[in-house]
Amino acid sequence: MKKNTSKLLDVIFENLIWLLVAAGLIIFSSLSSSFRSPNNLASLLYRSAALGLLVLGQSFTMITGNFDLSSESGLGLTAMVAALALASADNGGLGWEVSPFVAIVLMIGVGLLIGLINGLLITRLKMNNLIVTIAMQMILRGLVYIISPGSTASFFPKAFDWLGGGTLFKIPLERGFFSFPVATLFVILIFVVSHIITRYTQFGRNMYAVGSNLTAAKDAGIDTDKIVRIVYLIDGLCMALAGLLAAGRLDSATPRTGAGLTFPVQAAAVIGGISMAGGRGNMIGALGGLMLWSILDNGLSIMKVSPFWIETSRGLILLFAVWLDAVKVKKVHQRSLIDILLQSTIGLKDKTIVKN
Amino acid sequence: MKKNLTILSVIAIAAMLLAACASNTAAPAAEEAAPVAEEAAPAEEAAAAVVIGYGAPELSGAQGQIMQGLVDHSEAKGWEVVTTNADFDAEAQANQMDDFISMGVNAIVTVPVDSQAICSSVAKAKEAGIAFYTIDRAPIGCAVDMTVQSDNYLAGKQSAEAIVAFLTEKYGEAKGTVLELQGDLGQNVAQLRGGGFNDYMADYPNVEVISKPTEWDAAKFSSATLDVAGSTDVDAIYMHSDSVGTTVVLAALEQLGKKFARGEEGHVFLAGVDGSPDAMQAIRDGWSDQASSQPIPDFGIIADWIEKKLAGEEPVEGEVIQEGALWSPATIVMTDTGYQLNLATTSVTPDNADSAALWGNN
Repeated sequence: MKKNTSKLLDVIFENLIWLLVAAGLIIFSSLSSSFRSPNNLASLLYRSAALGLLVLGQSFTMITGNFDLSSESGLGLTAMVAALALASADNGGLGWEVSPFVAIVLMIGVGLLIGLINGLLITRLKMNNLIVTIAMQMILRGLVYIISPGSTASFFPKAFDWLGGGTLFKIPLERGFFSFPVATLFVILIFVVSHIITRYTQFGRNMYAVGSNLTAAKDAGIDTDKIVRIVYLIDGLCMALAGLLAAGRLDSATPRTGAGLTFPVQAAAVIGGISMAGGRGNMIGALGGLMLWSILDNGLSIMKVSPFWIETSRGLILLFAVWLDAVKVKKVHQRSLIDILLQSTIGLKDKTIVKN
Repeated sequence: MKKNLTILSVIAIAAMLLAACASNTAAPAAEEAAPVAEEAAPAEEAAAAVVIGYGAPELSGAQGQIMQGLVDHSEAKGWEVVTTNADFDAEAQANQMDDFISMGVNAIVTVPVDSQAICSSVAKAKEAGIAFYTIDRAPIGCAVDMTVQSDNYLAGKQSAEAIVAFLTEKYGEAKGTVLELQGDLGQNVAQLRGGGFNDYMADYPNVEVISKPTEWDAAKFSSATLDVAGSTDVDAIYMHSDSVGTTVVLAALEQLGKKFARGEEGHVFLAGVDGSPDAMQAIRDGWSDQASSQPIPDFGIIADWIEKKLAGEEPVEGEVIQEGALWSPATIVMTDTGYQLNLATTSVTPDNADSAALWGNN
């Protein structure tokens, strides 16, 4: 009986994020008819789609025990590269007016290149991942300003905007239309695919191994550097996709596109249960973190709460998430201690003594 | 023990969220006095009080006054204004516009962070049947219901008139050398401020105008002044923006040993557009002479046109006159970005530099 309740609590503990998401949805829906309108609910992930892709990239690196603080600038650079290639000279572009397909290939190439450089600096030159990516954040943002016309580049072909700003269908309502944003579906899809990759493939299991115990992973014969490099490549791809979503949504790219997203990215990942210490958390949880972030942003704004309170509530949720992470780490340590004692033939075999 | 703590903190956070929402909705919005009751929602819509969503790009300096002007004009009509601040972030502004659309506001008014990026929000609002207005800057590449801004052409002309009057008094005829410090000529605002000035000056062929682009950059205001006033005798300087230029231009003149107060020999006549607090102070202190002051708090009169639009009435092109108003006469013109309401600027001289009606003195 007691064991069952403790197991149930464990499950709740692991999925707390979804309880908070559900609580947020229920509270705001009951308080505001604007919040529970179909269009608003469908746009919860749409508004934070670009942020979501960065959270995903961050989750990949964090699971292996690394950070990426360069992604906001990576988003900015890939968006600007595509914008310059797409827009006409009158609209701030270079006048190449390439096809959307070429632009997307170009920006994905840039994203992968950023990921490759990050990965090589960290694994080959053994540079600290935190500082490398902070430096990259500055370098990439500088590059955005260097290549940009100093102003906005805008007005792209519809096909390019489809993923970030398009809608799937239109159903007439009393006032206006209900339309489902493509970006919402895309974000959910890509998080689910990433979840499957990280949970059910050898590569995914290796990622967790690298993150939870680097030495042990090496001893087990895993090419840990290779795993980290691949993870940064995936992260670079995520930046490019985030750039595509952001530029498509606003039908433009400014030199500041993506600026200031670094902290929200960290926060949403940690709130979603991705551990700062590496090796723990999963992509579906990270999606929950993103949703909670979005619900708070949208819900409090619709309730006309002052922006200062929105910021404060985010900070409190983040603190709560970090505390939760700390509790989990402690619990894991206790468990491994119990395991060690249990395996020892010298020690006491009575579980109750070491049990918390 | 720890689990209890966890549960406790979840409850605490949920309670805080609730409290934050409840306290805020209860206070300002009387028609939403019972927000907790779910079934109260249709009643709140039936009340049909006009709600305006206002999106500020940031809230320092003049932007705070623009927002207050809109809030004052709207509240005078018994409307509610929901305000947001994008803090220079175009994407945050797009989110705020989305929120306004979800809230079903009657009209959206904003000072765009980015004139091009705002167009995606304009399109969405249009689809939802919500009127869209911009203040201070027109969008680029799409049309809104109306943009209210200063008559920048008139502003340039007012500064030119003051400079010609000064030169005529100094030399007995309109002659001399004038330095024009231009804004970013890629922008409509700078083109108009330059156009109004130079069209007027064209009638005075003995006045030489030396024009230098500055891209609104204070450092370039300074270096252009040092270059030109250092090598020639400049009688007057016209700045496309006195909020950027006043202090740096005066510092540059001081460096050249050419900073003299009004009435002293060698005084360089200083004129500019904006009517910033800096410029007002410099005019009162005798260092500067003229400012074409923007009617910043009056941008809120866009509320009158929102009221007409909500009643199904479209704007009419032509002159708008309101006796005694600083912004009068204004003009309404149809452009490819929608109707533009251009408000008159006020020529500020030492005689009226103390007026409390000017935004630079508030």
